[in-house]
Amino acid sequence: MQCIQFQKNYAADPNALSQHLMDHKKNCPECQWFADEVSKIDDSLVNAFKIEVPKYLNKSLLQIPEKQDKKAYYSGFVKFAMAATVILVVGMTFFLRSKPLYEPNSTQFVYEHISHEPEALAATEPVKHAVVRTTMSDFGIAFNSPVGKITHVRICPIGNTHGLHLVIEGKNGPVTLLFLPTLHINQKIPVQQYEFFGYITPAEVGSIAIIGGANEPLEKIETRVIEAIEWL
Amino acid sequence: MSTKKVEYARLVTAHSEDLYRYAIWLCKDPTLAQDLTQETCLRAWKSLKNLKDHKAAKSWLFTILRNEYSRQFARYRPNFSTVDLEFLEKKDTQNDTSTEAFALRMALEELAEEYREPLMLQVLGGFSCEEIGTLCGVSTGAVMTRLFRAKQKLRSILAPQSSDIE
Repeated sequence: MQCIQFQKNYAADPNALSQHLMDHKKNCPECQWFADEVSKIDDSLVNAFKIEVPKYLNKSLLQIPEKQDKKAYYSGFVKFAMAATVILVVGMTFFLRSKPLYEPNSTQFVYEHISHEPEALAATEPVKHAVVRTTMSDFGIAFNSPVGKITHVRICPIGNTHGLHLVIEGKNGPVTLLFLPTLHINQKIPVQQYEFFGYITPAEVGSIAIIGGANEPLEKIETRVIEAIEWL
Repeated sequence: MSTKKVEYARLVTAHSEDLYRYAIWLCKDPTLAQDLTQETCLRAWKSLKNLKDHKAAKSWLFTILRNEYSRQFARYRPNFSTVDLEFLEKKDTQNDTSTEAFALRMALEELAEEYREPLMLQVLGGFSCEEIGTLCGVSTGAVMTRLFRAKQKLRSILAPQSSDIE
């Protein structure tokens, strides 16, 4: 019985025999012979699989961390480059889109446009309400409340785009209103050229130039216009 | 060098040869075995932080290798008609080409997989029955039985006259 137990245990794992079974081996020639046979097989197995390991394999395996570091570095660099490119493209796009087409010369454009249409300032008769409404509607805006007597209304090319050119009767003379939806500014830009005084002010969409003569209370007109305007 | 790299180098130096030999036995092809060993070490490097018990590092590596083999090579079926015969001859040049080794390998091939794998893990990996049980997902007792039967079978194939002793 002990022989069977010994032989099973020894064949399974010669290094994990209990003291009791080791003692049995010492006194049992049959089990000693069995152990020798199993050991021969174990040795043969080990020898049969003593395969020569390529010399470069260990070196190659040891280089894995460095290769991974390089890969991670380049991967990180590529990600960074891609992110930077995206940011640059988005930034440039945003910059170009938000950049006014004629911001550097916006006051000059406003002045030139007004001075090149002297008839607009000379008109004193009110434009028919239907004409005002249609022209403004074509431009994309409407007035919900009166802003004053409108003596001129026209959609004009201004710079590289179009604006709505309105002239209303002011306290001291004609007041020009230029609705410039593509001119985006952050703060008021004063306009002072010869007899023209006023400013370009940010609006809900783009900006509005309000130009009149000296001493014209433009702020009040601006308030009226801002309250009345509706972007369609 | 970082602690992680030192630990990795220690693991590779200690176990890469055993891993490669086990991989050779699994793949029966030195090139595939090198790829398998590389992939095993790469995965080990990436998940080295998961190795909590450094005493179990060897069985951890063998587990990775076995999993990787199952994942990559278990379904590998080379198209033998396209393999150069000269290349086939060169494939076995690293093995022990003695008659005894050849007979032993043939005898191993005759063993059922459930007996062969614990035996190879013991021979090539030097694992205990308990470790083999953990690797193969069977009890220690089952491993002992399989090892005993595997060696009994080998003895009967290699030396029929001596296998009657029990």
